[in-house]
Amino acid sequence: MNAQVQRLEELLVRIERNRRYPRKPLGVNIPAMTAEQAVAAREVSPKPVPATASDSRPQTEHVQVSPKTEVAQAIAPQAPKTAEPVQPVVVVPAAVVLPVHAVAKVVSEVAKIDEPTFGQLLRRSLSLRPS
Amino acid sequence: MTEPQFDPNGFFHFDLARGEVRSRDDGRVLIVTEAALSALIAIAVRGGDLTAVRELGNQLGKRAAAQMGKPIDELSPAVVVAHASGVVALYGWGGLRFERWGNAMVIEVEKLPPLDRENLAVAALLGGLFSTLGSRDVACVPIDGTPRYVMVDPSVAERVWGWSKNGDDLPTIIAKLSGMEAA
Repeated sequence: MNAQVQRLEELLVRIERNRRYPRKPLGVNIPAMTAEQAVAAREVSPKPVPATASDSRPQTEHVQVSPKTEVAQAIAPQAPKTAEPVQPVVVVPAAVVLPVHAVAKVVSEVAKIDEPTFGQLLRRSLSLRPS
Repeated sequence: MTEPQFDPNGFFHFDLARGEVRSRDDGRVLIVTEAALSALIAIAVRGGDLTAVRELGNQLGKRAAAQMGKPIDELSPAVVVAHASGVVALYGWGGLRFERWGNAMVIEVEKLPPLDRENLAVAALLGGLFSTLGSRDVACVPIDGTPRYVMVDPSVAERVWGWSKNGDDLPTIIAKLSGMEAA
């Protein structure tokens, strides 16, 4: 008799628990998953459709990988990057860009230092011989 | 450094009472017309002797050097040629311009006096002038059909003159002198 009463009480308790926490028809048994599996399952689950225009901008968040995968990538040798080479951006102040005639002037002034005297140039001219 | 300036003031002294013209350095000067001088030059060219004209160039060179007051090794080509040009112009033989073609010196004569067809008289005058200024023998070879003269050693002057007579222009002659092929 006591045993029958006890089973009856247990049955009532289960009924009451099922009433309070009904089972999901296609749900995942979360308590049965590991913590990593639970995180991955949440990340790959479908996102809710944006409701407004402001929410329709491209998603910029990236897909998280599991901690185990991150460790594996950190240990594995990195493959050479094949991205396009970065072009350096050179910013030249306007004052640095000299006009051509200014450069020519500098060159001629430097050359003027080496200008020979009349006597030197005369000797060079007189030293010219037919090939 | 201050470059000496050519001063033409008082270069000639005309003494009407004595009938003389003297230059600043006290040398006597005779003024000759172009026509008369051309006739004398023609005789000299036919005889192949322009020594007298070269001697005139020597004397002009001495007067130009006296104006500079410094050795030409201390002066730029522009200053030396400016003084030489001043003296030559006072004697009526035209004005000089200096050009540098690589290592070759070229003199251009403006208002070249038409004394002979091949401009040999002026070549002799310039040769004497720059020989005195440079203290060494200089030949100024006329470039045919131009008022330009290239300064060379007298030993190669005849060959350069031949190139010019055969139609070589100045760049070609300079290239040949410099041991390069003409462009």
